[in-house]
Amino acid sequence: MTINLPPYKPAQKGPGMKHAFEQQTRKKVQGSKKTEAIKEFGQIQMPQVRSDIQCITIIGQIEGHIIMSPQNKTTKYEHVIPQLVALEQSDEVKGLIIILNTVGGDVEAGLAIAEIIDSLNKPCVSLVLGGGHSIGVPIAVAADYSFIAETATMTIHPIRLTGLVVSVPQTYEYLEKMQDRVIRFVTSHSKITESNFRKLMFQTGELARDIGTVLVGKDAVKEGLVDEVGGLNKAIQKLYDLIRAREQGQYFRPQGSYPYRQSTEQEPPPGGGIQ
Amino acid sequence: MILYSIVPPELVFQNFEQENCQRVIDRNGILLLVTDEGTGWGKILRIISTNPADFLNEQYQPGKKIFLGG
Repeated sequence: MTINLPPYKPAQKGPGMKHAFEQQTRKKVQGSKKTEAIKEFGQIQMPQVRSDIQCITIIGQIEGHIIMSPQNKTTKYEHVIPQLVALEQSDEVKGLIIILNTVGGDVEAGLAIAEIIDSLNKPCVSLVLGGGHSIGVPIAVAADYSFIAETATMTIHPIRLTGLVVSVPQTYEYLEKMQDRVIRFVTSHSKITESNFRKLMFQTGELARDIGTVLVGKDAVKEGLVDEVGGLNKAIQKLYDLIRAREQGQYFRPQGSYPYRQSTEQEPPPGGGIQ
Repeated sequence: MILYSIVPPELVFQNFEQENCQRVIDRNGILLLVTDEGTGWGKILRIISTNPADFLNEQYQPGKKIFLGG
């Protein structure tokens, strides 16, 4: 089924979009196809509406290579990654909004999602609502511009190994490498410096039974992790601004290089991090 | 797998042995997470889509019963 989208009108404010949405719905419902379907098959045709921005929600645990027990709410990478590929390919989709309310999850799956968001060629805005903890942090900063709700929190804490562990020094080196992957991604995609991020990560006395820091709304912005405090209206407005800038040729996504790399003050320590 | 989460692993992997009766089905291009009750019918738990309009579709609201086929 082909969908004819109305021409995109830039510079529309928040409510304008809703109006366009309603207009489109009305137009589709009036179509004769609906009555035909009811007559012929007793089938109701639902109005087909496609918005020019699409939304990905990262909720609950980020599920990676192991299926979690059913009581966990999970975001599976095999769902998210094909969606992102489809969005990148689609001509109808102009921009993407990522809404996060996650408690973390698999490191590899989380980093995979973050990397794919980073390498998208379309404007992308993230919004942290409720919580964007642990591996949710790299996903939040991977977008072009990030927002955090005033009450939302982000927990930064060290990665740890659980379960049966081979107690050799190499295990700790491996863990360190995993941690450096996360740290490098976050510090190169946000304005936070590596030393500051490490300081927050290994802070004691902040969390009841853990090492780390909880950043609430404004604090995340103050530390440079997130760009701005805001809600859905601000996020959508920003996304439309980016879309408009892209249409006017003023916007491009840096390919292969991290946008904030030059602002990070120091290189990773020699021997540390992945080579 | 390394879990980087604020939820303790013992909570994440609680009831790990329990059989998963959830399934993902495709309806008109929309992925739906449903419970499979084994009767041919299931209940919609979640809509997996990036299109905000799919969430307004009355046919696929969470909690609704859906025919899964024989």
